[in-house]
Amino acid sequence: MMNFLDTLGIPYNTRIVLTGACLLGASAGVIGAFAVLRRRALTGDALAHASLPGVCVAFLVVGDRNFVSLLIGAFLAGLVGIGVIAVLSRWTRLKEDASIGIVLGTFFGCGTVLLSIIQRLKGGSPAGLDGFILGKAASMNFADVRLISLLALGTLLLMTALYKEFKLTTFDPGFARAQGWPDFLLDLTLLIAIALTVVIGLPAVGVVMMAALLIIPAVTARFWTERLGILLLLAAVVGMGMGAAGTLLSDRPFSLPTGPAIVLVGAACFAISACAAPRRGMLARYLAQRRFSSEMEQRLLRLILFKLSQRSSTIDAEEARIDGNWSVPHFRWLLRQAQKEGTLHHDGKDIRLTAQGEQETARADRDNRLWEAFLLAHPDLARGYAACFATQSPEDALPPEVLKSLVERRPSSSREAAT
Amino acid sequence: MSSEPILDIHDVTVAYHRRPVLWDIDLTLTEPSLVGIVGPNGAGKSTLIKAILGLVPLASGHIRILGSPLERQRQRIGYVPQRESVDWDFPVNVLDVVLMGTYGRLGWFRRPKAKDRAWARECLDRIGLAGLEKHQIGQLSGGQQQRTFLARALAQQADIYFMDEPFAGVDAATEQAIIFLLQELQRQGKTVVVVHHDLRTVPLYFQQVLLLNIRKVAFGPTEAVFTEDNLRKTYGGRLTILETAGQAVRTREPTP
Repeated sequence: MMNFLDTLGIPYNTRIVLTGACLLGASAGVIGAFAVLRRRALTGDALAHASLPGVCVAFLVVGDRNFVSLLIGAFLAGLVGIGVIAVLSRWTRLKEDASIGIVLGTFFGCGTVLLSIIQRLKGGSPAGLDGFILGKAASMNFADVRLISLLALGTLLLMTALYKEFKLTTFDPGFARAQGWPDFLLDLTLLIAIALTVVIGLPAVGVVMMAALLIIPAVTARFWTERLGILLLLAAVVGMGMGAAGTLLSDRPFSLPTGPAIVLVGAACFAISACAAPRRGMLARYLAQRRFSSEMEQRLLRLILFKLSQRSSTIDAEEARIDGNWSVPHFRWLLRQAQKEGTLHHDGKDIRLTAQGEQETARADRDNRLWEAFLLAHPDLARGYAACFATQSPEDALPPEVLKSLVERRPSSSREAAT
Repeated sequence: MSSEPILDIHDVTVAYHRRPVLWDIDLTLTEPSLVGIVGPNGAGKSTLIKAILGLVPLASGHIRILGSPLERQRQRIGYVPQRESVDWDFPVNVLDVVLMGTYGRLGWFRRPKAKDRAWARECLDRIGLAGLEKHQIGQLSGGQQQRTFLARALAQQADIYFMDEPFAGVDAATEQAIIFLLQELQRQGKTVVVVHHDLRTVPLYFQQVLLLNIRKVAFGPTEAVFTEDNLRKTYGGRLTILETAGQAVRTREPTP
């Protein structure tokens, strides 16, 4: 691997940073997934912003740019920020989002003021601390990267070890507590894991962009899977890719700021997933919606044709069109579709149902009446079956005993239906 | 175990923001049975279950389960929360959820094994969901989601179960499956405490009933306690409800 990167002309220093960025991205992806599922995504943002004054204070106290003390300062300030949010939400009437907004703005404001003070003290140089705002991967040395990698690996291992526990308390905290799991402790562990990831991400990604590294891999992965284990794996891969691509883009010849580069790469992955993912993607949803509307219209057409066909075997097309309130071109399109399916013959003026069409329209009418009878007889169940009304026959959707009671019951006797 | 009461609730008061939602509840359950908790909206039915399970703090009083404090009996307790309490878009499938019932026994760090998976499948089978194990939980109908929760409780292999409105908004097939399961559990000598909202079916389903409206109105065998007089004390002057209840009392059928 190293030889391969060597031949690509990637210098030693960049390789080191690359490794760190990959581990950081993977860890942020996994922890971010739990944060997002627990609706804690904004907590990560608040944590990141709140850590900036900690970095500055640590610098002022220690007096030089010692990496470890800066991270400890960031960690403590982040936790103080979270604590203030918790206190505000608990003891005032503020909702959590408002508390987060207040803490995020105030702490970040403090941080930037302290930065400018440091700049004045140091005679115009921000002492490399400005890298913490937008991230500067290249500012890290080997020891820094090793520390970041170890911490990222540690949080990853912790999350793997406690996978089952986190899965349970994230999905159903009430059940978890009833089963005896310390919900609060697990929540706290997750919070500390978020805080750790945020803090080790700060030098490379920056205060402003760190939350995006937590959130984007998780929501991107969610488009592609319905299983938590695979979601975590995908999120780790996306995070890794973001870290790697962002680091390379921040190097020569591009020389972009690392944080924004990482986030923009992630945003591209997200945009592609949001559009193109099967089932959950916007395109898939749009197509499903289109298919649904067209099914609904065909159903309506069948009901109307059935009604009109009871009067005479040839149906006046114009009458059907007005009945369904369709425009002329749209109606023509609907008829063409039905003709293609072999339901009817249409000569421009009159519609004649085929044998298959007669069956289909009669069935649509029967299904419709059965659904109406069902709604009258079982209003309490209506919501559970709403998804089936339009697209399924009651004969397929309803349990046999419910169906039997509907068929046996005369539609007029709704009093009987109440028992 | 036989000498100790199954559930002993002593002078329990629960308050939210200094406003009591349960007032001085006192009851002892000695015989394994199916117990229904009924009462109007806001009577504290769910809160009572949550208080027993330690999910809400007690303002006063204490609770013992099977002769010990709750913390020592966690593995003998099964729980079915209200269906609306979770996000059904969560990325897990039906089998994942049922397996969560085994987590308590597994303890820290250990993952479910093939044997646990087989057991979870058996639980699904018993509640009539065989074949749905790979479905994402969001694809299920309301009744199937409720049955998934019941299968999870079943997987806990508990001695006493607490169920919060398991019959709310379910189809006839699910109601049948749940009732069948409750009776099977009872035959095995287990106790099931159910928050219930359909007064008409109370005498059919439960041997014992607790009538609750912030305070305990009455508790005991259904035929002795589920009377029009007690229902009026529980529901007050809400005539429409009393009408159906009165009808239920009059047309009471022997418990199956």
